[in-house]
Amino acid sequence: MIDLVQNMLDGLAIGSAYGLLALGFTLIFGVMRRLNMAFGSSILVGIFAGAWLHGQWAAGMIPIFAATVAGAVVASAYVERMSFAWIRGDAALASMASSFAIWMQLEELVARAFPQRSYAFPTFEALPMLELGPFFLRPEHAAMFLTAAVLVAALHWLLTRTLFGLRVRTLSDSRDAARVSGVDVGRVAVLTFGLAAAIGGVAGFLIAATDGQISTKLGMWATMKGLIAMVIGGLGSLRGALVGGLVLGVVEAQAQWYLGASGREICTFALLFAALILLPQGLVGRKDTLARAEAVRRI
Amino acid sequence: MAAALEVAGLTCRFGGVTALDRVDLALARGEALGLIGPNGSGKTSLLNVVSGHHAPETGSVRLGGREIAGLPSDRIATLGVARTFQTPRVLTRLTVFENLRAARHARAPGIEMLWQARAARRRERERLLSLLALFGLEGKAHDMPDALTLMELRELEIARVLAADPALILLDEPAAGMTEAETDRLARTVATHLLPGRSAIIIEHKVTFVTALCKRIAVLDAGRKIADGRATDVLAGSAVRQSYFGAGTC
Amino acid sequence: MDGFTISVLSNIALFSFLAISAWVLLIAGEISFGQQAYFALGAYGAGIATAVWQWPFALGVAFGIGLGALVGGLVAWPAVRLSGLHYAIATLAFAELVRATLNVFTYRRDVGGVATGPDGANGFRDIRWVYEAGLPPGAYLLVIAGCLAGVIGLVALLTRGRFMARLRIVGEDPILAAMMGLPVARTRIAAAALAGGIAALGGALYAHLATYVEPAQFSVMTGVHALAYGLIGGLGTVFGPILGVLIDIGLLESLRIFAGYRMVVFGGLVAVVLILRPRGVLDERMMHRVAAWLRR
Repeated sequence: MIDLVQNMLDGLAIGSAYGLLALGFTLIFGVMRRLNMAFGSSILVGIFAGAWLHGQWAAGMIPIFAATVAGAVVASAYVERMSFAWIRGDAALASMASSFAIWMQLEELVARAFPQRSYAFPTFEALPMLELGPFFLRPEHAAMFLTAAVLVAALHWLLTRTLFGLRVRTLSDSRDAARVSGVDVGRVAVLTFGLAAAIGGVAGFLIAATDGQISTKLGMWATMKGLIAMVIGGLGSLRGALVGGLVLGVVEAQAQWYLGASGREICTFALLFAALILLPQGLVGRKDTLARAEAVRRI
Repeated sequence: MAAALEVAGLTCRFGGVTALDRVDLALARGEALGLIGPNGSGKTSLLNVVSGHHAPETGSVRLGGREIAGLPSDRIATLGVARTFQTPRVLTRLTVFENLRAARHARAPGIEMLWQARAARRRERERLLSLLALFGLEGKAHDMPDALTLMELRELEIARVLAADPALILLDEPAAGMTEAETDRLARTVATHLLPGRSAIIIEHKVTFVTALCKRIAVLDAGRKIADGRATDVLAGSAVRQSYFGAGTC
Repeated sequence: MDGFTISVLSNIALFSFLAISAWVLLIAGEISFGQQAYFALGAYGAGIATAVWQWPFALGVAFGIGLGALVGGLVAWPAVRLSGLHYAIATLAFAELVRATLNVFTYRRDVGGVATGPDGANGFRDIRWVYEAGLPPGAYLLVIAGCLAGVIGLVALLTRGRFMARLRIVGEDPILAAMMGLPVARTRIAAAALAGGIAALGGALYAHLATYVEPAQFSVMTGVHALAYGLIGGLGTVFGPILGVLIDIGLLESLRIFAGYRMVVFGGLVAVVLILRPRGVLDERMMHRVAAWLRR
């Protein structure tokens, strides 16, 4: 019983990082109606920028954090141009395939620049373990929780209380409606891409700082986790992204504990496949996002 | 003998909008019915339900006595219903000829998925080219559809309907966007090649086009059928003038 | 032919199966990131049949194809009703599920005093039928090439018949296809089964060439390459995906100037082609022009 709850706690913590990754995906899907499969590799670029700063100058946490986010945003800008802005409007699946190609590129570039198997990333070692009765909360996990909560609140404020947020929501609702009401679609898309990359960068930083070491596998890993969390929650729903992230985190933590690493992997993908077939609109998604996803079929 | 098409109590809602409200409509074999009404009155929705694109909420649709409401559109098509679209809908990545041949795919025997005998192939080819020749399109058989004008695209759609050889034809504003001369030409083609031996529902705003082809007219307004009868009577009726032409415009 | 040429040609042919498999689904309007799963099923299925059950080679390969086609159809059956985007993710999820399952799949039997069969993440060794039969690599290359020619011939046959045309119609406009009486879901399921069978044939041949397969070989990266081959080579003809394979493996991998940067170059190439020609170099329009030129 204690294990179960402890796993739940750990799962919710890592799940909040998944939720952040899924939020990045969802923001991009919302305004572009396309999936950015290079999302994780943009984050990878950011994390390695941070690790480089760490290895080269033993920089403090704050500059490393800034480098991670900046790296992710810059790499994302490249993705936005190559796989989205310059691809014809009705070729949504071409965008998805193209972003996969860019993912290959970025991953190999990082692997060329950082040929070792893994690199050290600074951790929050200095902070003490938190005790809650019989349960423990690692300081990194507490940081994940807190950061996720703050970011989600900030994002909510941004989307509901600002002019930029209004534009993003209009664009998510209908591209045509946004265009006729004078929204500069291209500009909002670029800014949203940047915002999503920054959120992804934060998530990547937290994850790397929890593990203490990073490898080039992290890009694919981040893409898959974000994608799975988003799909479980419901395509295009911000709330769904968070819920999906938490569900995925908890399921993984429990499966890891009771079934081991390979059992966890099987559980994750079985969950994703079952969610797609049985609940394509997601846990909290709306039916109409399905209709929008349908429009994506044309290549 | 059962009517070609019998629609009873058909209701269809999208979100909060009632697109069709208890519509009854019967069509005798070989009859052409003109369906008119203002924009958004439910004309296209009716075609969508009959052709199976939308399932109705309640009501029945009988095709030659057989209930088809809620059947998937590919089943309904193989039962002998073919339609055109408001904006011509053709396959842009296939040639004009292949677009026409597409209408035959569902009706061919299963073995032809893999192998079509030389003689059958030649027969099909000749028949389809002769259909294109009706519209003077045989020279463009191997062009891509983007080389066609709007008029030619509509003619291709009509040729496709002919190729499917259906019992019931649904035309959705076939003359929209055409000049008067083109409209006349289209009316003649439809009358000589499409209508004989088939039942048809023709949606059209151009009243002359409808009266040239249909003896009977039904009027939809806000999802309800407000008139149905001989073309001259219906067009003279005051309710129709009110809703269709708007008060005071004629 | 020297060993290097034979191995490059074998690789080209084997990847062509995977690329054609992904291409069949692209024609039907579905994007699949998971054809490597059927490649894996073919490799494991045929490998188990010949190495563990001691079936003859042809029967083992047929078993692999059947397994791939069956699973392909079964997975597509619920999935084709989803949106294109959901379908793409579902293929990805299923392929990763297969890979994760193979990681724990152990089926060892005593064959002539040696434990033979898949051993989870350690892979599947000693798929030795071809070597025991004494076939030299050059002869086996001919077997692979013959099978590839068979697949191309099958596609040509289906193109002459109505099957490929139906796939293209369903792929371009499913609503219009249904209005013309084509059963959209069933057509797509058939496409998925065909694609699964083609990929499985490639996998079966690959397993007997390499004698060793392991789950890690069937990663998403493999599937994405397969998809990219069709997208850059072109969707207008079955030679499109093969052209894609030739560009990547024949040119980029074999020429040493790109050593270490192959994926950077290939990824960039795919991105640029998708910007300029979203349906690849040999797209429908190009093939139509070729056909018009041939008719003259």
